[in-house]
Amino acid sequence: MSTVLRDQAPEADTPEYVLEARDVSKHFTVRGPLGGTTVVRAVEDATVRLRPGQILALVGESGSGKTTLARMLARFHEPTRGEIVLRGERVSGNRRAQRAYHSEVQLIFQDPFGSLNPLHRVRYNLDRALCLHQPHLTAKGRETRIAELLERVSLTPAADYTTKFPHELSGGQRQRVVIARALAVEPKVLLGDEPISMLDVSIRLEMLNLLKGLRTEDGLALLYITHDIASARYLCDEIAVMYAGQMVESGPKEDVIASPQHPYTKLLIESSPDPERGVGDRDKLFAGADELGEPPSLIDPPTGCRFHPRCPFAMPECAVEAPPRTELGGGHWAKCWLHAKGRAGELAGTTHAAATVARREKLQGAS
Amino acid sequence: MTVQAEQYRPAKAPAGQAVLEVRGLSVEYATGGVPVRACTDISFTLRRGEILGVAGESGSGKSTLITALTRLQRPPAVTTAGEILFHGRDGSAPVDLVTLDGRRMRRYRWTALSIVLQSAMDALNPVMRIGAQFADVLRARDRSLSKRDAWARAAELLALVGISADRVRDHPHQLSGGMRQRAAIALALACGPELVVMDEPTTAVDVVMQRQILAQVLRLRSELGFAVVFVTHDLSLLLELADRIAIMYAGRIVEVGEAAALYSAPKHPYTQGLRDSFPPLHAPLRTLHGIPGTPPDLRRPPPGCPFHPRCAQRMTGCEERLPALLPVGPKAGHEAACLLNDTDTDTDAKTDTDSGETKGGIL
Repeated sequence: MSTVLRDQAPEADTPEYVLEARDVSKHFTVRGPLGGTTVVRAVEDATVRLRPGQILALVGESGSGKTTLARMLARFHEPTRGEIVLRGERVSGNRRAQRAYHSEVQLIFQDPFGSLNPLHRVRYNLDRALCLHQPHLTAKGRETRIAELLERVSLTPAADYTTKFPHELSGGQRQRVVIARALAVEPKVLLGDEPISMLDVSIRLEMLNLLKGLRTEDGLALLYITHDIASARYLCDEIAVMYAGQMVESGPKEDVIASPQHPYTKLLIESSPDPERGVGDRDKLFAGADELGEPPSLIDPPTGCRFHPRCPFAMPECAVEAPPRTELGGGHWAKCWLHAKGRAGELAGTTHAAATVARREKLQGAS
Repeated sequence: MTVQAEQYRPAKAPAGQAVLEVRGLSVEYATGGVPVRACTDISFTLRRGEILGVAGESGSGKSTLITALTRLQRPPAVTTAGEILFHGRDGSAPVDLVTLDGRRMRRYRWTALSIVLQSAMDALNPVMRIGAQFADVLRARDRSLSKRDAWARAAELLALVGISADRVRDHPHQLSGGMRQRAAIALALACGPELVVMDEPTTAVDVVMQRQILAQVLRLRSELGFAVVFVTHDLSLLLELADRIAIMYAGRIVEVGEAAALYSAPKHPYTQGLRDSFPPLHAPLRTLHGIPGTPPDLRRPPPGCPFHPRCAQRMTGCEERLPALLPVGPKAGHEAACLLNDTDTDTDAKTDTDSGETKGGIL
């Protein structure tokens, strides 16, 4: 599988991509209670590429490795294998390089309550980033820049907010300050790790619109990590789907959502609430949905395709060998044996729940 | 013609018997100087076997409401007004849960009403095996039950929610988050309650697990016939799950109605805004704006309609008059508290008469 990916790598050397993770893996060694160690394979051979002005959504269940991948891209974790490439150059590990890296790539956390220093006012929180990353600015210059930044994230008038403590702000305002702080270093890439999931529903859209504006007006590249496919569709250009530490499908958002080409993507989309698919017909809507399975342990992941124990389309080869990557045109690809075996048409005709029921009946009939 | 038909249907169908009637419930937090009113004048009726969804943002009073319903509130929260009438299945006279003393209230817990909390990890005892926790509950209600039978029953209950019987000897940390939540649901159903209150039971789990849990709740509801009060901030989820939905804002119910009616024809601007805060999964995309502003500070609620500072359809009078929850639209049981629906401009509507009208109108 990794050879298939590596064949693709040379063309990516053109500085078309601002940030790339090439075939990165991250294994965590966990010490057990009896002194033994186990290895958690959090991410395996994942490749992510971000173009300037592009928003890529990374979706998947919790434990699928999305956050670990983002943290590798933010250089909080060193990849076990593979490399992080910024503008075509491999990133090295020394401190000076780290500082330079962080002036280009910034991470926004899920929890705006935990990511601002509660003992200091908004001004100080923003000033720190400016002092570290824009040392040429004078105190006065920093003050103007802080006002500009707060206006950029629609916290106006800025003077009202600079003297506030984080606890005096609402959740949405706090997340805006976090974004302003990330923008203070004038990054080229923002990594958003579920940046809206802790905010109230009515203010989430404002935040998505703000992130969208940063892309169109400032040309930032954004990696948007989420489990909410509807918000991913609203914000992003492309979607990449992760399952159990591996990328299983990626492509332009409408292609992926309208016709998912991996059974897991299909399950994820069918599980997302969508009031438009018919309020009222509940029994049909939830038929067969009470046994959809759970993601596997990453200590001892399933052989072959990691989704095969839950997959209603699984074939004998799925349990043996990892599926190859199939290019489906227009940048849409999926890793599933159905494509290699010419059975991909089966995906469109059914739902995950219906296919699971049909498979169970078939197995019972056979035995 | 169709309107007539729709109006006729609820009357013709055997009206579901009420299991819970809440009348003018108000809850205050008596902190320091000014008490904070987290729930104000809440009235609704829950029918047997019905799923009532309660949606609202943080601070809208939805959690306060369910701790009041289940009498799990702690000081400084105090129920200052109203009654919660519980109709038992034996057909005896309804009891007011607000006035029951602790000992009598215990008789209703688990067997009449139970609760599923948001975080199952916190709801389950981390140092007890799952089976032992079930046995505890079962044997407290039925002293004649042997330990062995109680454990066997625990395994049956876990099987109801799709957890294999051998997990009954596990501790909570050995189960996945989704399994723990399902175990908590099975535990809530252990003594056959008539009403299960669920406080954001799927917020901490993934979409796939969320779907499984909702499907199981629906299946168990049709098998066992309990009624559900399902509290969440995710309206899109409720539209698929609930029979009726109540929208809360600043401690009040601002709109209540059937899920389909609420989605297709919301009558309160806040409900509209909330509905349009969820980007569509398949429909054509357009730029959405959510609801500008933030929810009000309940220590200093705005005068008049609490939503008026954020409302795009605000008109004169909104900042002075508190709109009553009145019937709207063609569907029976659809009510909204907004002056926009006020056709006969009943200007002498005061809070007292409002609540009277609400009481009459909700049935």
